[in-house]
Amino acid sequence: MSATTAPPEETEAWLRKENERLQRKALREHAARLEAEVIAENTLREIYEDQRRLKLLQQCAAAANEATDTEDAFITVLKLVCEYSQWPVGHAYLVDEATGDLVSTQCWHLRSPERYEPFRSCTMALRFKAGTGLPGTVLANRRAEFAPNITARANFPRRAAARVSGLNSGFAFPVFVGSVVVGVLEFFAEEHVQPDLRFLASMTEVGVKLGRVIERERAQRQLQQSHDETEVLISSISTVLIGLDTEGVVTRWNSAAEHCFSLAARHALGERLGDLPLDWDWSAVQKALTRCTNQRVPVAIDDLRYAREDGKPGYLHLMVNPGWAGMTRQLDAVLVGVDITQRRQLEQKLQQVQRLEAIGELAAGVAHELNTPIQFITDNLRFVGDSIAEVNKALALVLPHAPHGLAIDKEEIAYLSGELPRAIQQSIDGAERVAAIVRAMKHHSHPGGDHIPVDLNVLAESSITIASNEWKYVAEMETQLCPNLPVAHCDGGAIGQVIINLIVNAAHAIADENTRRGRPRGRICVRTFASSTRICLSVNDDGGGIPDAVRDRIFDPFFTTKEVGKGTGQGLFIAHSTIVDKHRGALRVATTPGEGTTFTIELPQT
Amino acid sequence: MKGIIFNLVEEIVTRELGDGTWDALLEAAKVDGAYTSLGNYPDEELAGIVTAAAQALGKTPAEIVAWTGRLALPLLAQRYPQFFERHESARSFILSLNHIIHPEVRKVYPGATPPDFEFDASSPERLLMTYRSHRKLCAFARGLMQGSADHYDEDIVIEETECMQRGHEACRFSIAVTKRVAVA
Repeated sequence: MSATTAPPEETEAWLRKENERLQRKALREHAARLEAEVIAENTLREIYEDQRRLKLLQQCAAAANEATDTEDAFITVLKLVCEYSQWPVGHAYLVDEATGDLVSTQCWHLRSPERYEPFRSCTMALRFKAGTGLPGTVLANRRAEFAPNITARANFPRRAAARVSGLNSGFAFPVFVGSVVVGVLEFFAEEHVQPDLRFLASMTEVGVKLGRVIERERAQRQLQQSHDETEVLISSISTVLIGLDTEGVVTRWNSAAEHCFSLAARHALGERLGDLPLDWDWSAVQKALTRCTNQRVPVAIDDLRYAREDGKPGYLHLMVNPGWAGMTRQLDAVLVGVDITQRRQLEQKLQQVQRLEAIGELAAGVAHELNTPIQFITDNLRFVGDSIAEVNKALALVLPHAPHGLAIDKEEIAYLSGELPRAIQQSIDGAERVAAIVRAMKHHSHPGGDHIPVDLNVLAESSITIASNEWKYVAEMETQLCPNLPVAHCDGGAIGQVIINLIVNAAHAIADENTRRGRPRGRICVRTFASSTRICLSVNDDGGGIPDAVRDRIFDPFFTTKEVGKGTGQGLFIAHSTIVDKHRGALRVATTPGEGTTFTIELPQT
Repeated sequence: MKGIIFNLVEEIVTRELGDGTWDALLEAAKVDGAYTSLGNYPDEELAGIVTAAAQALGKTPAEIVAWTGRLALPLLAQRYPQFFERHESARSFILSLNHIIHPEVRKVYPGATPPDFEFDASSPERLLMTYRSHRKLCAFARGLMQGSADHYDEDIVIEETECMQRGHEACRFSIAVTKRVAVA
């Protein structure tokens, strides 16, 4: 204060000046206070805005994390942003992957649905190409866009609807997966609002967070798709695939397993394998499983017997594989089974064929060897017969003149003269029959495979001859052989075998029926005939017929109604495969239970 | 009560009635008078100042409050032009109070408790507004509305059909705004 002290004579002027100075100082202080207040207010506003934006980002991030799907995330974020910005309208688009256009989702936030309905329905009817309208601009530029005056904006197709709904400002931001825009969110306000760059930056971050939801959903979809594909692959293979967990509970049961064991997956899954109602050699499987899981090595079962759907025995080649490190407890062991029933049947059929071939070769050799001795036996017998006739004539001349006393029993000689020619004739008949059989055997044992011209009539007769031992005690044989039958091109040996089979079957059927009805004999009729395209041979019997229950199975391998040891179940199976597979012909059956059966071989005319 | 209101009153009194009057009112109200816009001060201090002014000027407190409200508005328009620029009428300005202006107030003045208004804008002629506040400063609201009509060059008719000062549960205003016709 000493500096401003002044002498008394100048007091009034000094006071005036001092007052002016203090007033200026007060004004300066006041101005400084106002400026400080403005600075503080602005800082507070920024902090407040930052906090709100941060909170919005946190809420949006949480919404993106917790959302079950994209739509769920969109709806929550639309609501959050509308609440934050006090804007009444929010909407989301997704990019249509096929066209690249933006397509409206059903996700809207509308503060007043009635008021904004014109705008909503106008929007739902549109698709936005890149560059078109507000969302299209965002899609094209790949950044947020602010439109302070949409009703005056040139590139805004929804101008009229916006005007009706009273909307004036809009902004939109992209949803990113990586650097690709996959969707757009847009918001509208009634006021004319100026762009807020920091808000737009925050919204761009929200767009990235929303993109994570879509990315996650896509990844899940892809995973599901590849899982589905794997399932399709597993279910489409014909190999049986069974997965077991550490407790031996079934975790996988593919459609081949369903088919093989006639057990649906829904009944198998979750059950212990040993508890399932499977008709198979469980003890063998159990043993293999124990060894596999204990030693962690694959174990193979070569011929695992199981009951097929039709009740017949089937065979599986089963591999029991251990689950390996890194696999879940869900797959502790994997059973892989291949049905080898058909292979086994083919092998057996092959063996049968080989055996028949061997017999055939043997028969051919035997027939050849027998042919010559039979020939001279027959010739010699004829010679002996002729000679005996001569001797008899001579005896007839000399015997009445024989002197008494000769030790000749005249009666005995008369008896021998009568019987010897008959015995010789019977021997000749027998030898000729042997010769016929030998000829037929030679015929049938002709090396098979080649299709050569064959007269089915000849084949029929020789087959009847060979099989005569089977039918002659139970049936009469009738033949109706077409006199001008065309020549068939076929494997005569194989076809002959089929005919023999049919005759033998007919004889067996008749024998059973004879017993059942107490009749002495039945009747077999072998007929040949031809149509314009086919040459046919039928074998008809008056046996008991084939019951309905088994008619569909008579051509199956191993199927037989005969008692154990009598039939192999191969005859009709081989007959069918010979006629149908090797000769492109047909083997038909017509049967009436109680009346009889007709099998007809049809061979194509070539 | 936020310091900004004290500052506005101080500015108006000083401008209209002189520096000394404000100091005299502060002394009469027995308050120290150091107010910054960012601070919070007891409502009673403002009531004391208003009472002192009413006594000194021979008016009712409500008249003093309405008078300051009307004169405060141009000061607010000067200080916060962004809230005024986007409107062309007092009606739409008043309607923006709840969702634009008061949220802003809350941003800048932590702890501020501005009133919430209820609006019925279904009639284009008459805007119905309900005011509820323990401060019962409906007169200030009326003054501000008159000030905003002045700002947009409009005539305003404000009827207060119910008033907390008269024992009602809330104050209800019926407001009609018309463009001022230029007098030749």
